[in-house]
Amino acid sequence: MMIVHVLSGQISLNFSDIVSAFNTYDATNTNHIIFFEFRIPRMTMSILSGSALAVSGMLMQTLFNNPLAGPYVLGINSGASLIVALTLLTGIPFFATDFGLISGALVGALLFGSIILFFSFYIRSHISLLLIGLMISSFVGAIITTLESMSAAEQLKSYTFWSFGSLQQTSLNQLPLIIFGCIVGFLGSFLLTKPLNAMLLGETSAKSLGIHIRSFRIWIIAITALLTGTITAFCGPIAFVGLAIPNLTRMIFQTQNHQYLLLGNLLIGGIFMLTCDTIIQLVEPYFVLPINAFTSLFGAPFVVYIVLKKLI
Amino acid sequence: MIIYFSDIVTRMNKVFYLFLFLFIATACSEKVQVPLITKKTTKYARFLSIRDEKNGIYIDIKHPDRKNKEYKFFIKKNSNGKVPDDYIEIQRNNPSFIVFSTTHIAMLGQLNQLKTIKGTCASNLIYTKEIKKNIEDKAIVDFGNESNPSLEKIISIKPTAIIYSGFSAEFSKNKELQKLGIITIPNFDWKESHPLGKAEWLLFFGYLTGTEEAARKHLEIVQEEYNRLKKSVQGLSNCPVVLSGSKMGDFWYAPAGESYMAQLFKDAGANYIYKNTKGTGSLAYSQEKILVDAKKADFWINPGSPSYELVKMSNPKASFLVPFREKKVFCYTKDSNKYWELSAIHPEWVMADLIAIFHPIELKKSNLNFYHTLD
Repeated sequence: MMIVHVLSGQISLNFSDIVSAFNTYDATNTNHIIFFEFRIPRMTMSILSGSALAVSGMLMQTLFNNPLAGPYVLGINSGASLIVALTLLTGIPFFATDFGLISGALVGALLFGSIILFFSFYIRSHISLLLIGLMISSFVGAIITTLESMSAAEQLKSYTFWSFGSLQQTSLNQLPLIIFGCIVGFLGSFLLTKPLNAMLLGETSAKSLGIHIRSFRIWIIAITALLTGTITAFCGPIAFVGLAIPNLTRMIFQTQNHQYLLLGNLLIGGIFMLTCDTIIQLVEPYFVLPINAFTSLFGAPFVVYIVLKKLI
Repeated sequence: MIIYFSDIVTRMNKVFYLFLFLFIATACSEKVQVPLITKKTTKYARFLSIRDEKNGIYIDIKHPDRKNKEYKFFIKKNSNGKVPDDYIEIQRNNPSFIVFSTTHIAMLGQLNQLKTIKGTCASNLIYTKEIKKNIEDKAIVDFGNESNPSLEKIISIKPTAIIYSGFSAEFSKNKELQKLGIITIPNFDWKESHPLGKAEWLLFFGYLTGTEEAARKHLEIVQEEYNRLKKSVQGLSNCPVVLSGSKMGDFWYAPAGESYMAQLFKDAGANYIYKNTKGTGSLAYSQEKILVDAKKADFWINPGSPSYELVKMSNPKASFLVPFREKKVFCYTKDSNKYWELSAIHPEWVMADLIAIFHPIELKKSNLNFYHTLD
């Protein structure tokens, strides 16, 4: 899938271009530039964003014991969107650049991740925490709508394009930071697989198995905030992956063991985003299709299917 | 069969009354025919047609995107004259306007009619100092966002006309406003793809304010200079290759081959890389395609940022473009407000700038009106 993704695009590359790019990279060779500066970052971000959002969704669904929970419930996406909207409204040209958008989104994601983390220290009930996360999202959404109504056309356009999501904004030298953040999140999730399995039996049973619920919850939220915040900062808000992929993984793997689910989400999340982005690359010569729209096109019917399956 | 004389008289009476009825009916009709002979005063504008006839001035504005949609306005020359069917009358006594584009301000300014402006929007985008001062002094109302102006504020100002850009749908509540004597007129100058066609909308404002002669004089000067500049670079063997546009989101938006900028590049003697594409709007291409297509580009025009640093921050991959590496990027962003406000009525200034950039031997680069090399 990775090879198919790297070879797809408006400019056709073949194997010999890739081999020569690795062997004798030539900074003036257009094909080499396209491979290293455009295709590699895009492919890497597809895999990382799919995997990170899928793992975050899995963590949220286990924590709240709800298959419809996702990374958005913490309000991290909303937080990133708010800071981006505020910075764009200032009209300062820096904030309309890729670098400015990433900085604003990172600050927003970390800030709102910290807010939810703070609440999780004091609130015992999962449902209450879920409600607070949803209310924060709603509140922030209202502020963003107000900001949008006051914005000039250019600022509105910049914000709208950011909200489409993008796997192409990242440059090669930013990848190490993103990969590091994601690896920390994945390792942390792996270390929590036993408590996650125990949570499936319910809070009381998990407590009796020696799981410290409060610190477990704090770790889950911190890891989710790190993974979601990193991806949102560099790719913008990407919908439905965190909600749909964990459910799809459970259906495919037919297990509730989080060791397998974690690996499954990493794999299926990455493949899913690679597939979506490959399709987007194939239609690029004909029309513009934002990644956010594409994931929602798949995710929304799938969520309906899950809801109907539960009701039947 | 006996025919009585009285029967004949009765039938003739009926016919007579029928003819009398028809005569009265047609005589009472107020239909005014639109003259077939046209003295069109616009040459380049595609969406504006003005006919100066004996009975009045006919202003027909075509909607650029909606087929068969026209806005028709009429200015009486004689106070007793009749307004033709389907036309809305515009009063020229004491005109006052709310204008929703800075190009409208420039056009009224060119005709010394800034005093007619009672309201505008987006004051941060205005270049004309007099208008900015009047907004600060509250003599002119700033409506903020054009798409959602306060109707009550509009009514309190009671302008004779609202001139809007027509970006989206009709101006909201236009029928109700008309009942209050406020006409709403869409201005599609921004949709004109010929630079001289855009400038011709000056005539529209000329007729609205009774200064059509001044408008005509200015247009003659502009057209003459524009065509002189165009002729000076025709037939030149050295046609530099030009890239235009910038990245927004994941895609690069470049002017299409039949657009305003493409026309300017062609007239300025440049070889625009997408000159053969169709359309008057923007093309959306992947950055990879731009990198390949612009391999031989000599210049990059309109990146949308005032400095190389900001261009790189907006689009880190711009550094792979040859004009960026060779520092041959030009934009109007040193004073964007001046460009957006004045370029519509001074296309010859834009032409002069582009010729100075593309063919520096022909014109000195130091006297650029709008453009500058990036910092």
